[in-house]
Amino acid sequence: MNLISGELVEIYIAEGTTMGKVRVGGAFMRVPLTFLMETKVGDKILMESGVAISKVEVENLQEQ
Amino acid sequence: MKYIDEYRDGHTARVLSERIRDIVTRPWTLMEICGGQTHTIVKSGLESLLPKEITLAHGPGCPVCVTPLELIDKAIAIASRPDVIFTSFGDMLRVPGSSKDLLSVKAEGGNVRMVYSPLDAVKIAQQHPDTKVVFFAVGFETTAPANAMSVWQARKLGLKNFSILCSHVLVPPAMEIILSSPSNMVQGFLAAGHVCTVMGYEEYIPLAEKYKTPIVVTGFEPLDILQGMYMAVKQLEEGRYEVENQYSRSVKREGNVAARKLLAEVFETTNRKWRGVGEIPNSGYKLRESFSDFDAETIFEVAHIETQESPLCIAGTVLQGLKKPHECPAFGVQCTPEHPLGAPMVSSEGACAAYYHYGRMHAQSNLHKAV
Ligand code: SF4
Repeated sequence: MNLISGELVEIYIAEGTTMGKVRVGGAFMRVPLTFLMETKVGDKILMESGVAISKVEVENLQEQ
Repeated sequence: MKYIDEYRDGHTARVLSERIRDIVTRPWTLMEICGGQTHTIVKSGLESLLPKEITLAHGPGCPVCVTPLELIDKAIAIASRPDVIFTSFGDMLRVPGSSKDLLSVKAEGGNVRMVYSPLDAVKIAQQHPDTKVVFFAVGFETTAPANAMSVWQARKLGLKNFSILCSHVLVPPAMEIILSSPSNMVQGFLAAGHVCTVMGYEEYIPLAEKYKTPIVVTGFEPLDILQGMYMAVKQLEEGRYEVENQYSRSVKREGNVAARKLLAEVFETTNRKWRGVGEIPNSGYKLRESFSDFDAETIFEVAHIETQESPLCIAGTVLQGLKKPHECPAFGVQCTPEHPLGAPMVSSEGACAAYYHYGRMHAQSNLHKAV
């Protein structure tokens, strides 16, 4: 039940649902983007239980 | 991997631990809430990087660990039926019920399947219209949106053979139980960043104020956790008790608004029993009346099942941070990952399993290996 992070490489519609194809390491996952409609190709996102739930804003830890 | 390795760098870890050392003047006890954070702390040996003044208590944030025994027994009763395909995350299959686990049901011929998402269970229900498909919906606020979506989708598809056995738990009420206990030792919290990606952190603000306890929303990589600790210690040393967000790269104050909207539509809060802790008011989700057709507990009439915990297991004390896993007399003796007595020894996020696999109580950071 751990969150998985990956890069969104494609957005498409399947059976009325907005879906994302996400690169995770060398593999791909397909997840609904229902909770993350503002996301775009190239974004890094977090997925939980097969659903995208958060976008990762790239920032530098040192600046925090 | 980009954006992950940056948060595991051994040199930066030592810089952060020095910063904590520089500001600390007296003993403080911090609790990380989430099992994922406990796993990182023990695996990376972070405790060995901390000054002796800082004590870490490991919180009740492993969903597998806090799922009550009787719910496992209910799952086993449903999964044993010949007319059911029972689906679950892998972690739950090995959790011991009172007499067996779900894997044993599978070995005895039950149709038990591991899935990675409740949406996979919905697909199975579509493919097997004559069989009842049940998903074991456990977890914190992080897994709840996917589970809500599965029920919502099943209704949209007109499925009559899909249901969930729901035992969702919520983090803030558990934090309040710990903070309000007369034996509480926790002076600062690292809140679970992943939970806050969904829920945001507004509901922690009254907790921080009421109990005068700093709460830092914290990520899951070693450097996230060290930085979260630094922020919590800094607040304690300065006499502040605020909610701060270390995990701002993924967490917004309001969380994920679309996910919270669906959660509110599908679920309502309910009193929930936590394994080893007992019942906590308003600490769980149940399906709303309008979605009761998808409630496996009602459909299969298992609501009456009640069970007692093993007297040997002190998981309740461990999950409240009052004792460390190796202080349990059964740890590593009667209780091992191969033969777990209690749930914290089953899940990789369980404090007992983490200590067994990585900790062994040796105070040596192995962060450099994680880079
Ligand atoms: S070591 Fe085993 S018996 Fe002891 S608290 Fe942990 S799970 Fe329970």
